[in-house]
Amino acid sequence: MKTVGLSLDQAPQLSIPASFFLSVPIGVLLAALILLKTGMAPLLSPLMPHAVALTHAGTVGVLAMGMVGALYQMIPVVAGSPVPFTRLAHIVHVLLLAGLLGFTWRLLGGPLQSMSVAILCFGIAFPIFLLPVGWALLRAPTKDQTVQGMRVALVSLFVALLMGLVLASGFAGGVFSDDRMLWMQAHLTLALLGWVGGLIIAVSWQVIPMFYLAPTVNKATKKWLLVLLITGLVLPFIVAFTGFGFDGLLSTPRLMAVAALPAALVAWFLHPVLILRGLMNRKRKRSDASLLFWQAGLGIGLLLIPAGALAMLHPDPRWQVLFGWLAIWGWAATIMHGMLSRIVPFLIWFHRYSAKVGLEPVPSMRSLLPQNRIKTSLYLHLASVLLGVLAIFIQTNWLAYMTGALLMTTALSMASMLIHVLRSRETA
Amino acid sequence: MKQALADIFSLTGDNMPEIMDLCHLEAPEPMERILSAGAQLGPRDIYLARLPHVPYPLFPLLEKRKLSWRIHEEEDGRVLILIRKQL
Repeated sequence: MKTVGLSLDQAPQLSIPASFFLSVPIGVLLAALILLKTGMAPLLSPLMPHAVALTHAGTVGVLAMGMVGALYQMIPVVAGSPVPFTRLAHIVHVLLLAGLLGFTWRLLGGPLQSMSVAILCFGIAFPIFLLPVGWALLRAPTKDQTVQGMRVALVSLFVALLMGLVLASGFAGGVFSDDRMLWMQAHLTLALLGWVGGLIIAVSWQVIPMFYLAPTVNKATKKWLLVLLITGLVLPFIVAFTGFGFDGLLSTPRLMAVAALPAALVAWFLHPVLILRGLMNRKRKRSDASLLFWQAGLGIGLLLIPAGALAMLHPDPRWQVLFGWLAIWGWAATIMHGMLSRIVPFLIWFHRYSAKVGLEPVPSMRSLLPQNRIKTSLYLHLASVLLGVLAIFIQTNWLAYMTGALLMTTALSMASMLIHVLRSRETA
Repeated sequence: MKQALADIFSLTGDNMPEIMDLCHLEAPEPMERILSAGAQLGPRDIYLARLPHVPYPLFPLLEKRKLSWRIHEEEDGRVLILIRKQL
């Protein structure tokens, strides 16, 4: 037991997380435009440049944009450690957007130089994000499993970034390494399970009890989950460095995927089961549309180990595309969409109204964003996931175009939801 | 129990208030309750509440209202927060 007395002005300016969060719909819009421009091309095989463009519209434009904004906001609040040099966040934001545009342009047939610009932008943006945020996490007074999970996510992002930059240079006039498949497997494992999975897991331990009054996952379980997650992130590298593997079914990239199984089990089985069970046993069962996002995203997460196994074993590349689609847009982006619908009203309430509590009437947080707006976004998001699955299997251009149109509608709904909350000062 | 808490926060047993359990409330309701209670505190009053975690975002708001606070972290991760007017 300990007693602490802290005096810290913790929260960053609202403009920092808000600028990142408002850019998430831009990432969705970019993914929509790629599908509307190229039809089925990105859904045929994960190695095609159009597929790489669509994947990164999701991972960088949607997921990283939201996750970077969330980390700037959450580290001071959760870990009690302000992020230094927060003004750099505005540069990170602009560079991420510019890098994503250059990356996409090149992969859709643009000049080699646009990829070089993208590599430069990402190569600057992520380090000037990672250094201050990493520093804040290192000296955080709170060292619980949420903070440890965030550290795992940041280290994973750093290594995934380095590998990603090397891989991207192949599209900038460089030569793809003979070990491209190994690099891709390691990049994918770290990005999806370490960076995205690690952060979703760490954040859920904080926000699920806080916002939905679900029972907390006990400390020992959290520790074991982190140990398993880290094991599944490190083992694939041991396989890669030892070069262990055979021709055919037991090739090194496939063995790397198998070696990542402990992390996959945590992110796509144990964590969803624990959180879904906790949500069923929450203390106050209040209807909440943002909770439906969590339940849907975690439910889709449970499909990812079977989908990943099929992607690895089945020769039809559609299974690999399906795995990527479900992982990025079905699991991670659904959870993020739900988080935005809960965290943004909280931020606006905190920044604009909390100082007036007890002194004058203030609106409730829930009144800032009507539930029907969140539900509309949820239905659009889930419909686009489903339509994308159909497009991947049936492989007709019109289904891909319809998926693109639905993604665009989802982006507009998400943007409208966020703008509605951000404008609440005038309407409250 | 009361004496243990009094020792932790350097209070006499007589002025030890009842602990308000705010662990069953969704964010930001605990913050609303604490700030509302803080606005009603007299010069000698004390407000004591139990929360599920350290409420870092609350601290600058308390400071702006000239309220002082002390936090006591319990072994299960929950915290007690004691609030009073700054002297």
